[in-house]
Amino acid sequence: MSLLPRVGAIGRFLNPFPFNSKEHAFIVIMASAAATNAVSTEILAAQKLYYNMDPNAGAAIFLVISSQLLGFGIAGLLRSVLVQPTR
Amino acid sequence: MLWPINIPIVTLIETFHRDKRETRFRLKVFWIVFGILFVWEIIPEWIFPVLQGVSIFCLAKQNSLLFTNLFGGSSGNEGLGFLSVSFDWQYIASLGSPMWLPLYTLTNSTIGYLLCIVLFMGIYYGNVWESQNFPFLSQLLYDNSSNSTLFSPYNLSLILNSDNEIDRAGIEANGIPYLTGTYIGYLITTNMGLTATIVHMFLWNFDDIKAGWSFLHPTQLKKLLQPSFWIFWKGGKTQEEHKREVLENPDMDPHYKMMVQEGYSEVPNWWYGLVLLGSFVVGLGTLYGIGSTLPWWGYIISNLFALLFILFFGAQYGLTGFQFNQQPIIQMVAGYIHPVRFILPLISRFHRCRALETYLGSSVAPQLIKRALETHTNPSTGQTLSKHVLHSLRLQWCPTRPMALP
Repeated sequence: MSLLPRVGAIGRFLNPFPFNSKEHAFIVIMASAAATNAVSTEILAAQKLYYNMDPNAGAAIFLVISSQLLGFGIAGLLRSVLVQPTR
Repeated sequence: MLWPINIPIVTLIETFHRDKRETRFRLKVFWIVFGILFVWEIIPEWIFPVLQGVSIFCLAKQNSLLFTNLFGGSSGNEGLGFLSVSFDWQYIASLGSPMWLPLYTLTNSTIGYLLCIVLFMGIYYGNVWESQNFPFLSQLLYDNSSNSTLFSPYNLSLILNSDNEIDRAGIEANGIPYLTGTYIGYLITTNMGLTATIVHMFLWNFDDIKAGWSFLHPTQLKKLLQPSFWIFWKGGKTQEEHKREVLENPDMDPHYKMMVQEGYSEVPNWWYGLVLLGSFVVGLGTLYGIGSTLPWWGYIISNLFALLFILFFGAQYGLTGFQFNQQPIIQMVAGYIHPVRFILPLISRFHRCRALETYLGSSVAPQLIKRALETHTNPSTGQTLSKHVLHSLRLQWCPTRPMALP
């Protein structure tokens, strides 16, 4: 990344090597994970719109995170079935 | 599994980071197409949105409902869009780009689309379930006072009591809600698709997915009784055993083999297990925290559904690129399990979202893992991102083979 400083102690710590494809892949993965909406936000929207409820903000954040991670955990456990085989 | 959706982005990253002399032509094509689309997309998106869907038939006959129902469709719920032409790539590729979907998926989708036209036109013009009293396409609930000229949506607040549960007296006073005939047709065919998918997977892809329930095998269950199983941080397979197993397996992804060869360490299964367990507990807590009316056992059932669906529909998505909409079956099951709270599944937003969201969240996850795999990203970086930097220090980009195709 040419935008990050490369000189000085901080620069060498943050950015020791040229930008490579793995870093690029990381950026893509993080961006696409953030670009898809979590369906759990629909629950919160529905509560507010149709049921006149105002869910607690902290609980709402934990709801979204836990539901996303739940799927991540299941998918991770199933990765030898869903990801690694070539067929 | 192929995960066709990842092919474009992986190819792009590959091309960007290879030797520039090798990829000059590819990059040139990319930048030309990129430039053209960058300028062109402004026109159908903002300046002239009519280009998103141009139908000669609709232009020729503008005051016919039949023509609008069959040929119209550039905006939502307008019509079936038969023989329309679109000049907006965003619109064309939004449901699955023809550039990367396998030909058999595209062919099957086209046949399904033609059957859908026949079914929907048959339901509506045959006036099945009084379809013509309601709009041609709609996902809303309607009142029984609707007729072919005036559609009145159902007022949900009249039939809910203070606990957001269904009030039987309210329903008796206001009549039962109606769905449009085409939406019922959609729900029925989707439910048929669910069982069809599971049967298809059993018949044709049994070997691919049987590892998904191998933990239920008696020998595996016996392991649960041994104390060594529970000391998960000790024992298990060593790095060398895992490496040998992966390298000797002919069905293993070649990219993964290379990563194992190069000494990348794998994320242990118990780490994913801990994530699953932790988020399960937190999710159960928030269920009561946000005042959802879903009981704890309903939560467990929806998670079991998520597990089942990820295995079958995730495998289907990975193999064919076709993503099945399992929302209707979730609604129906939820409505059946909790009949008092939600008489019609459409009202049960909590329930369907609960299982749906877990499923959707997870259908993205294997895709991300696969993307990481195809770009040779260290699998354990989810835990330690800094480790990756150390790895890229030691492992420069290894020469890659072409994409692993089945």
